[in-house]
Amino acid sequence: MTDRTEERLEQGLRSRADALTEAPLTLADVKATARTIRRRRRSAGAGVAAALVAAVLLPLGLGLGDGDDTAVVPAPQPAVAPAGWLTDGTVHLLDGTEVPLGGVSEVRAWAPLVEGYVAAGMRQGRPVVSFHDRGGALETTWPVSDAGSFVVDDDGRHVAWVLDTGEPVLLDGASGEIERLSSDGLGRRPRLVGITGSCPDECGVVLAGGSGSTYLVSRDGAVEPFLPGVPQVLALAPDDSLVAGLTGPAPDDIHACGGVWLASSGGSTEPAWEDCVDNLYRFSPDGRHVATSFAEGAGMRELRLKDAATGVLLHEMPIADALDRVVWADEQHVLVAVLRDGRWSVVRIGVDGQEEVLGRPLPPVPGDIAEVSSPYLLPTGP
Amino acid sequence: MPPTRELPAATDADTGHMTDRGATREATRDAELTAWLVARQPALLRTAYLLTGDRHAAEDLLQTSLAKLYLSWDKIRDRGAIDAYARRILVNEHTSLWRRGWKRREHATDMVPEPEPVLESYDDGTAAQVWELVQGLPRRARAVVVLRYYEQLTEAETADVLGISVGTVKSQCSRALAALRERTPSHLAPSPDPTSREEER
Repeated sequence: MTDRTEERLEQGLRSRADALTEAPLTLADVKATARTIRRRRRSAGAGVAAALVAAVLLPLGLGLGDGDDTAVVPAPQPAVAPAGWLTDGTVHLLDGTEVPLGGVSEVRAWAPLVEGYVAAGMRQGRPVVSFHDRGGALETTWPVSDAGSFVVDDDGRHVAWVLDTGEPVLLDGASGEIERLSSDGLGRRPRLVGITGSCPDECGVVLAGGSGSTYLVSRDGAVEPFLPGVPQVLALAPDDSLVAGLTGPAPDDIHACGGVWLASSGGSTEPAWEDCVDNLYRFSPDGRHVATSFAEGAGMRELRLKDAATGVLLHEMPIADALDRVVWADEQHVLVAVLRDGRWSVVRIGVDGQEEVLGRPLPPVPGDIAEVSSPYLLPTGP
Repeated sequence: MPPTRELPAATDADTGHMTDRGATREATRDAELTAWLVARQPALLRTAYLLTGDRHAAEDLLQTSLAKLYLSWDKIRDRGAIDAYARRILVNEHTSLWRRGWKRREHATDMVPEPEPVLESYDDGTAAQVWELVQGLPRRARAVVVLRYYEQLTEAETADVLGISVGTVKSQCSRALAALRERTPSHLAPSPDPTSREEER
């Protein structure tokens, strides 16, 4: 059948847009906004310096010692340390083990599980989430809408994602079986936030619905608002004690205002701390630390490691040309792919400021332009 | 400017005062960007308008994106890549996480809509269908459609700009086209191929 739908789509778009022929902005307009952005970045840097001073002056004065009521209770040690990276479809673990993930291509996300690996990529031209055994052999795939999005619980035994039907599902890595969860009220493409609780008995998947509100989808079929006091939930600490979220745009409309709440408050109180710089948060496995970054249109370039309970800055990585993915390797270190001088490498960074290059510098993935893609794909963390 | 003496670093870190080299670089950057703005700004505005569906939001998105382009100007070695780089900033700025949430809320209080620019040369009834469909798509899917069918990027180029897989580009385009087929009035439905038409007769 001859189908002119593509042609009509093209013409329809042109009919809307081609009437716009003006150039409304002058160089002065652009430079004024650029000055605002630059000023905001500098003030963020000044804030970082102040926080460094605070980190020295207030080491234990904020209630992190043993026996303090507000101390964060360490989470159980993760069963799977997400340490390693994927290049050309093969997982390279830090101990030197190499595991090719079979049966899928264009892998855009992966994570180690106790029983094997989970990945999101393509199979036979369709986006899928795939489950692999410990040797990387493909066991099962499930169709999804967007290859690249799933969340893993902190013990590496359960994975959640959204099927192409819009249904959230929970994979039990021991059985390789999925359980379909309710999608009532979530809209067609809910955003995954994390898994909360203790699977398999008492856990649920946290998703953001189409309106931006966050919901907890339990295994018993219930869908209920999740921390409605936090405007936009971004991340959960593995022990569920803390939650990170955004509160709104920064005054410059460039950066974001956000922070960390005590989950016990239900988000009904002010956050434990907040700032107006970063918009990405990743909690360490024990919930004591949080890695934060500001991702703008051109991607991430900055990385800060903070005390999760207070927001006190512990280490700030020097600004790189680009960063790709941040994942906690253990309670004290993150892995991040870093672009410097035109080469990507994997760097392990400690909250003590120590940096160690693990993956040898590689050129960017071919076919890119000024902003270049990393050949190293780090795993999706809990 | 004394061209023979040793020039200091571009900017004095202590005072913030611009040096000769810094002034020269800024003048060069300004001249280059001014010329580029004249040539390319309308095209970027059109893309921003298709992404946002609103003239004011498009200009706001454009201004932020151009400012970020300005700040990155000296790092772009391949001047031929500027168009693509600017487009990438624009699209990713639009789909960035916090803008998604907050811009939606800002638009919650509906003002009297301003007239929308529509070319009279093409309006067989489908334009409104296309506009409604595209504006109803999720942001990233809308970006896929705009890049593929307005910017005429290939599937691989679209995937590269958005940082998604080619498969996702294909599936999102396929869904958009299917949705448009469903919405297209019957008298505008795709013509069957001649063979099947003969069979119907």
